[in-house]
Amino acid sequence: MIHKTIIYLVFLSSLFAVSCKQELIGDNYETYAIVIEYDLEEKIYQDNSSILDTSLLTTSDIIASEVTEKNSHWKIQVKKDGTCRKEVIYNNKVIPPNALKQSIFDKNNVFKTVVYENNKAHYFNESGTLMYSLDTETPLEKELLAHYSKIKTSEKKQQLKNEILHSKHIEITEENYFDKDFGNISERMFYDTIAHVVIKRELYNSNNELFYKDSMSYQQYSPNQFIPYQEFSFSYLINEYNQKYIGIRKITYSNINIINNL
Amino acid sequence: MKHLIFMFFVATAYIGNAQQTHTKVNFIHGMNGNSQSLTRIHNFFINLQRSDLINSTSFVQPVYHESALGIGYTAQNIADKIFGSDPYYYETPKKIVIAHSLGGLAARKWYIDYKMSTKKDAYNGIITLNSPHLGAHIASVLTNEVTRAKFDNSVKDAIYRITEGASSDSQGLLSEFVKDPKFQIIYSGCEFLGFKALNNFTNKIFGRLLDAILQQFNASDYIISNIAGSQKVLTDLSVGSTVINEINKNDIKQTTGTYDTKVFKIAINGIEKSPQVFRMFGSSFYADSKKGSYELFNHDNDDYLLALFGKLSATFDARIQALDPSTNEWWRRKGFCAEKKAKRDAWIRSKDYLENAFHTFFLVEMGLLNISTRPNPPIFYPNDGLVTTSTQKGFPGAIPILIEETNHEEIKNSKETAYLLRAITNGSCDQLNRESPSHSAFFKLFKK
Repeated sequence: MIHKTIIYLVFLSSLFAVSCKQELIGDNYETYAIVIEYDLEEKIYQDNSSILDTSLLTTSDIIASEVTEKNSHWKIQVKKDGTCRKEVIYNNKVIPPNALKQSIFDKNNVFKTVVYENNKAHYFNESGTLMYSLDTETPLEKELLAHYSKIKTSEKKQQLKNEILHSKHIEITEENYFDKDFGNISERMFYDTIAHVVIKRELYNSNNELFYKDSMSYQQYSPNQFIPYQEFSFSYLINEYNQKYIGIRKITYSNINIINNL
Repeated sequence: MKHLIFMFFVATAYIGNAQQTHTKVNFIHGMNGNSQSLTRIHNFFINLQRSDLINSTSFVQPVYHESALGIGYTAQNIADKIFGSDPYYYETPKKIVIAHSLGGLAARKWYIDYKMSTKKDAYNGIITLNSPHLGAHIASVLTNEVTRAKFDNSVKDAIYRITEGASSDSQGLLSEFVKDPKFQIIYSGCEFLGFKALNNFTNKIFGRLLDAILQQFNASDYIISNIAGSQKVLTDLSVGSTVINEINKNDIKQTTGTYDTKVFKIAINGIEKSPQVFRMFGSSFYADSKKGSYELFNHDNDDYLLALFGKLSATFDARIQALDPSTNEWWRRKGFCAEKKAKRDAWIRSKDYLENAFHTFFLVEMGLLNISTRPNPPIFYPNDGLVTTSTQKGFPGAIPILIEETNHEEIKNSKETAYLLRAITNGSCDQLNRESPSHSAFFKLFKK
């Protein structure tokens, strides 16, 4: 009798656990107006090639020049009011053969899935149990909603392609700013007048040297068509001889799937 | 006549006492240690003796000796302390020494000095725990001007990178880590880097504080003054130092039969699993601040430590997502939002560094990993979190015995060490029985 009661209780508690889990990682497509899914691959490394005297490099620089590859799956679900839920599943890192395996982050108790919802970030481990929650900002995705509401589900990919590849729609503006950290900045912006988005942004310092460029906004509009490429060089990464290191973060999108329920 | 009879009684009583104790076991602590450092192992033997398992053996209460002024001075100090508390020490027929880290090298130096001056043995058996018999890489780095400057630069760089996000965008996110009692492990690790005021993570002027620390702080100065105690001891401990060469040369003479007596030697060495260096620093510093408290550093808490790293990474990730340009209005507007962009990039760099480089950095700096062979795979040297296993084994004439998952600090208090020492003194250590039955017979202190 006692055994039966225990088994029943265990069954009930497992049901409860499963229901709690589902509440957080729900797969309910229908309640969302737009669902965008894609795989994201990141390559991060520090380019030390401009430095001739390698004896000046610190250990951190040598390690950072190793290419790190990361793999994640993204799902962005937007409701009609613009509130959204983002889910990121971090897959096992693709470790290059010449890099040291970081066993420090290999364990199951390190987060695998992150869910951003209602200004909270929930971190789950590999077996799907909630590890901890942190406060964060979950932005309203009204612009995303407005953009995809124009596109019919059947022709979404083709239309996106046309929209962005026409270079005549791209407006290039240049503006000057003063920033307390960076000094006089000249900003060159590439703006798509059809999609109404910033395609690319380049920043030049007072010596007219390009010190920052990125094309981040493409990730949600046409991830397949352009490979967003981010490059930065900042003052802290200057060695004794005033030589700059360049940090490179390259992001590639694949397996894009857009569901439009509008 | 009465006086003579009394003298006779006193003398026989003394001789009787001396004869009762056939074996003396002395405990010698390592660098920066104290009389409490090897107390647990000492107590372990006392308990075995109380339960009447061990023959008449005197387990001498561990005492403090000076350890910061070089191996030679330490050896002299050990000899003075042992002889000072026990004038009949050298007359004891069987003398065993159990020494940790630097203590092992100092004990060997003591043996040589005593042998040279009196032709007698300071001890007949020695068990060293994680002693760097061939020197420690980190000591070599800190005694060379060029490598020391590079080490300081690298540490500054690492501090800058890991805290870049927090210093550019202080959100009080890290306050919950500081409140966590077990954050002491990381806190202690960071203390090594000079982060005395880690609570300033929550402070708005964190960035300025960090700059101030970076401008004035040199990791090598901190290590020499607060950990090693002096430059002299590091010079002695560096790989291939004059003192170490002398000790090893003499030991080779000893093993090849130049000396008339044999000393039985065992070198116990621990191998640490990931994350070696943090567990090592954590246990070292925490043990210093809370004397003798090691409960946080058994391997049951490894998962917790790893989870803390994961959580720190998650905190960085939450800020990155909150400042995500693809989902924030500010990025799509014309005009450069330098502040937000810089903040986000800083968090990204901190996160990348934490996940991909921070741990490797420590391993490289401690000489436990060699990445200079790239593009070939890096060489990883098995280690105890502070020194490589190969330098611990390099002890002429000694039988090396391995203890897995035990770091440099832990070995002096861990259960595994106690069980191994029990097996050695019980004559039930398989490896010892197999490799050297004479060692096994010598170290046997159990009655049966």
